[in-house]
Amino acid sequence: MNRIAKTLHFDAGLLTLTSVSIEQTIAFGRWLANHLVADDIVSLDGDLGAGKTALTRGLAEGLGCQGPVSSPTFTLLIEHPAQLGGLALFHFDAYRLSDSGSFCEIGLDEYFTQKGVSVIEWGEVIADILPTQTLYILLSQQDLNQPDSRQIEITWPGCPDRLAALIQRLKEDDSC
Amino acid sequence: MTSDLILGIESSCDETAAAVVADGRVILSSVIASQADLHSAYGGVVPEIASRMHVEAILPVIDQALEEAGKTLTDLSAIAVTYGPGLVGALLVGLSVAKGLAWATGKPLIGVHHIEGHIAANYLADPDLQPPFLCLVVSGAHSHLVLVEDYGRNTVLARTRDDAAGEAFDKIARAIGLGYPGGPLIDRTAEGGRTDAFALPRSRFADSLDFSFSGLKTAALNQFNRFHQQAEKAGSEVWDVISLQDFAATYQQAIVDVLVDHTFQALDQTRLKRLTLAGGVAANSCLRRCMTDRAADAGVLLSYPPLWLCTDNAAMIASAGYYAYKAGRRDELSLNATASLELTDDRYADSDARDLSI
Repeated sequence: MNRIAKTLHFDAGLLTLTSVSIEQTIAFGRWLANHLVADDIVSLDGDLGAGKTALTRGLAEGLGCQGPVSSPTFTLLIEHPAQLGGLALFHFDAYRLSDSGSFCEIGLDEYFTQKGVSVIEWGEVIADILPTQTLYILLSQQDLNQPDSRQIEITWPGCPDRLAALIQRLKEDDSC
Repeated sequence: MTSDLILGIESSCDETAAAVVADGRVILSSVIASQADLHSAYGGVVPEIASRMHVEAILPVIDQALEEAGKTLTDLSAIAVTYGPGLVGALLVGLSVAKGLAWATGKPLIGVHHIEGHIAANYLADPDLQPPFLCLVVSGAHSHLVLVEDYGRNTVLARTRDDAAGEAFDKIARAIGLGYPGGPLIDRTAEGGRTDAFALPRSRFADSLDFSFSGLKTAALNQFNRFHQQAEKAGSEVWDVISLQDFAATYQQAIVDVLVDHTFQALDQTRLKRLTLAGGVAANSCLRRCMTDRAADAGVLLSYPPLWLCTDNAAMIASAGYYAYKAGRRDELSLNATASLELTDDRYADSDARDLSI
């Protein structure tokens, strides 16, 4: 079982988890998907290779979307249509964008209200236009000698109640 | 015998392009308004500029393509246009103009899959090429192994599960300070460098020929950071610890090894002896060299388009459109741009494209 919560730390609105493998990161995404609703937005940040696309793959699996989840770096957006009873996943990548102006100019922000879950890799590039309900996840590698291990830092400044509920579920839920 | 002239239109990413191609094989004109110079200043595509540039460029580009071909709209048999995958905003520019022209002239409209266009660049490069063959399509957005059973009949044997090969080049190039576009820069920097300066993984899946470049990219980045640490301890610069040339050559070789190995496994599985390359990464000199050597050993006939046909252009769209036209395919004016269009199997299953004589 790919448990995610190897260590769990909560302090002043910041939830910190440790993933020891890419599989655990995917498993966390799968678990998180169950706690998201239509028009939720997840901003993913972290260096190259931190696991942003992997976490998104877990989210897609958790939402029941089909088909491969590959990097949208060149296409900027890959849409994963909703399957029966599920939500669509809009997978963005702002890596190549200069700022939020470029994002809005081509109407990508309109997806935020299309009854799906929006995930934005390199979300910090468009931080100024992210809605208040945005969930922020920062992935980072802590130690070069543990190349597969990642720290996952979660903040949800616009929704403290939902973050609290998420932490509660994470403590209860042993299966993730 | 009069030939069938197809006007091809392409606007799925950086390039606004139009071309006139005769009988799917002979390029009468190919005009490309590129934004690459503009984008390199920003380190990548700038979509708001991209969409606006497409709008401004599309009509002059089409006019120029017709003029250089010495043809008018009435000479055409059909209008072929890329309708996916790509940026919807960019795709719509070409598609809307193509629809307008089709409606105004009464000529058939034919939507073309961008990857099918890349594959068709090989028909323009090699007049003798006939299906079946295997095609490795590698670019910034795609890494596909496609079995081309017949004109317009494609099976995707493998695709990337994370990053495309070109993306793996671009991201590491940016991370180590080489800049954009990463592929050509790494290719040039790697020339003459050691290809085994440090160890890198070659990811593979037990049950599939799918590609994965994410682990390789991360491993290279970790290695780069380790070299950095060593340099800091020694009070020197990172490229004193390992030469930039060796780093680039080792990284490039790892990507190429994966592409070559999977391609030749697919050839084994399909028992095909005919191989083509397509997409911007097909211009990589190490990939071409390694593919050529391996093909010679395996008795496989390899061909690939020249660089200017590997990158996005409209001649390849016109060529693919010609074979769709001959197979009887026609699209309605309601055709929509599709951002994540699949390269479907048996797209022209109703018509017997095998009887095509050109």
